Amino acid sequence: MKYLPLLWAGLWRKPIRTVLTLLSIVVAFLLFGLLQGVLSGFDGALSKMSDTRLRVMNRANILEALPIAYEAQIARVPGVTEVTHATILVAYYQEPKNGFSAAALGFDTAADVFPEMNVPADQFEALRRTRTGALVGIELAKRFNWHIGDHVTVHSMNWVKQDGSSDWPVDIVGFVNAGPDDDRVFANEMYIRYDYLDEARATGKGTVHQYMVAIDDAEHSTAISAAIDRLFANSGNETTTMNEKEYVVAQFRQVGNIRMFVYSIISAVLFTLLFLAGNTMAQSVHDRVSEIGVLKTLGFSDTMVWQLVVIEAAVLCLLASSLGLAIAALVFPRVFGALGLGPLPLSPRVYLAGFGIALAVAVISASIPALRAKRLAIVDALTAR
Amino acid sequence: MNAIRQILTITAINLRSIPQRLGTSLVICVGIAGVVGVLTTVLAMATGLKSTLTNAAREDRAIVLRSGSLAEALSAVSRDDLVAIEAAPGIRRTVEGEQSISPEVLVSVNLPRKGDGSLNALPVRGLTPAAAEVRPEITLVRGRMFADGVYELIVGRSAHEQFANLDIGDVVTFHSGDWSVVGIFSSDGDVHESEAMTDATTLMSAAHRTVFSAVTVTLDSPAAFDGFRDALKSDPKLNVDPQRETDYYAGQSKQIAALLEIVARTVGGIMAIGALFGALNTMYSAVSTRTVEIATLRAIGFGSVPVVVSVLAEAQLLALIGAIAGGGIAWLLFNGNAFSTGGALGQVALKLHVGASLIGTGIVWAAAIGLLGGLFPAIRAARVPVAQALRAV
Repeated sequence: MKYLPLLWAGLWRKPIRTVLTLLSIVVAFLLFGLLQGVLSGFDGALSKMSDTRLRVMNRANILEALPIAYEAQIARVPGVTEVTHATILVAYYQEPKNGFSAAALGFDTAADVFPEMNVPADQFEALRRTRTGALVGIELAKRFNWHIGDHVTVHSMNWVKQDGSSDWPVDIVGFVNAGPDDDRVFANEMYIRYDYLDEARATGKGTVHQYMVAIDDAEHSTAISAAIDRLFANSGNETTTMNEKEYVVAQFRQVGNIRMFVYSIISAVLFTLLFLAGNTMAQSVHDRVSEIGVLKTLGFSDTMVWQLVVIEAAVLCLLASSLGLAIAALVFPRVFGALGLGPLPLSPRVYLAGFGIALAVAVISASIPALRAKRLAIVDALTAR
Repeated sequence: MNAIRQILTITAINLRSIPQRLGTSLVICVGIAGVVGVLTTVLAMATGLKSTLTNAAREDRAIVLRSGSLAEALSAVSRDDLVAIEAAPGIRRTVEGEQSISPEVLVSVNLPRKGDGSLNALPVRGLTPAAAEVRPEITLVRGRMFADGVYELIVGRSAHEQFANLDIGDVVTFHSGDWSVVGIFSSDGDVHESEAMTDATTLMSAAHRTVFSAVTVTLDSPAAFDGFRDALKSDPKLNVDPQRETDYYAGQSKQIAALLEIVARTVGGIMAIGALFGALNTMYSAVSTRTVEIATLRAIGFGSVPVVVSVLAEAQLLALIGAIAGGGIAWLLFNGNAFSTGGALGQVALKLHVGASLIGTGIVWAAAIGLLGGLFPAIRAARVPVAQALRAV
């Protein structure tokens, strides 16, 4: 500890150089925080997905239909506690660029299967009374400035009414995920009643896109999935059943290998950073050769000189990474919100990884200059100039 | 003349001393190579996507979707609609007098990918015999054409590379049918190479479809589009949206391409700021190690402008080397690399294209970083107080 002033003086020997190096490391960790934050945000969302809920889809494709009659058959499978269903509306409001996802639900059972939708009882009761009622996610409501009692018309790209129109007027009766502590998983969706959709649509009557199945025990999810798929094997509409985690992973996988993409960028950033920090340290040792000679003359051991150089690098990197991660923490919720997944604080794991990398960068980048400082003979050092 | 000679002289001296400062000089190169590498690679994904989709488009072709449907797979066009569309003016006729009009049905089916075997959506397109007239770019590279009325598929080159079990002779099962792969086709490297094709009637009956997805027509000329559109739009019984193919495919790529461009510019921009600090560092230290030398030059009559210009020139040269290295690495590693993206409606296989214009963009970014990174140190160099600097020796 008593060497702290010495370290500090060494660090600020060339203030411009130190500040510039510091800033470039800050930038690198800002980027690291944001990118890694996105990945752990996805992971976090994934870990909250239920594994006691299954999704049953048409084996051919998620947008192919399944007969409504499957509901009763699925409900009889042992281990199944509740079944509800959803029919996807690929929808937009007013203009095609205002796209959002909507679904028609078997509304009397949906609240039991998805308690985390957190719809207040009176609003749910209003949906029961209103055939054209709609529950909207709180973020979606904010986006279009919708309030309870509003009468809005949504355009469905995939469902046409018998009169040839694709416009579906609905009455907003409640909000989804409006609670302050809700994980806003459903906050960007709209839900309408299945009976409203089914009666008015021109095609596909009596079918749904997906069954959502609550089961008694996560341990049984594989067995129950297999049992459901066996029920409909060799029928006109074979099914694929998976738990919610697998379902979300499968959806993301279709977009592409996002993880690989982000890691490639992070490695490019960190490699550049390592090179930069290493260079600064090398230069700083190079400039100080005669000073190091003096330190050794005064009785500093070789190891101590080595430590001083490495610690100096560590202080620089940790200071810079704290700053970078702090800025990342400030802007991250907005960046993640812009991806349509709701604001989310930066995960603690990102800070841990960030500081770990900062230390590694410091040690790796300082090790060669530090070795040089350690091996320096006093006579050579003092006559260097 | 004299000023130019001074600039050249000092710049030459600077450049000759770079080998002695190799480490610090490399900071600029590596920093900028990182920026340009990331920028060009991500932009190459965006251009790859755009070119794959726009390759499919021809000025003299129009696609008719249901009004409000943004994608072919979500659209529905009935047989009645088809009859009305056939009556519209401007559709090209063959020498035999047949109309060049192709009603098509698009059905997405989940099949396992090569490699990890995860299920991805393959768009299967049902065609009528008229398609050959409308889509002449579709040519078989191996095997034979599908026959009408039987469960046979031809598979696009990209789909064949991406999905498991899509070789000639393989059988895949979907919609309660066993479909045999009988041919592999190419389509000028466009988006249709990520699809499979079969007979429309067979596909519609297997997938319980009663309507087509969209209708594609070849027009007499690109100029015939307005008349064609107006005729369909003014028909009160029709609720369809005719678009030029070029507009339709530009719209399809817009969203993902825009997202990729935002990612490229944001990540590249933040990295560029980091690289700028690195460049400033290098150039400040270059100037500071040469303080005596610069003071000497000033003392023997060199002007301050040549000193400034020489520092800037050095920064630019290092930046250019960095840009070429970064662009070159991106080109070596990723040019021609395939990647695929998509959703429930289907995967599109793309090839990254690291072209001259992207490398040009990288060089412009590098030049800007080099300019900013060199400017402040250059000004400091010009302001070196001569007497004081020389006394310091």
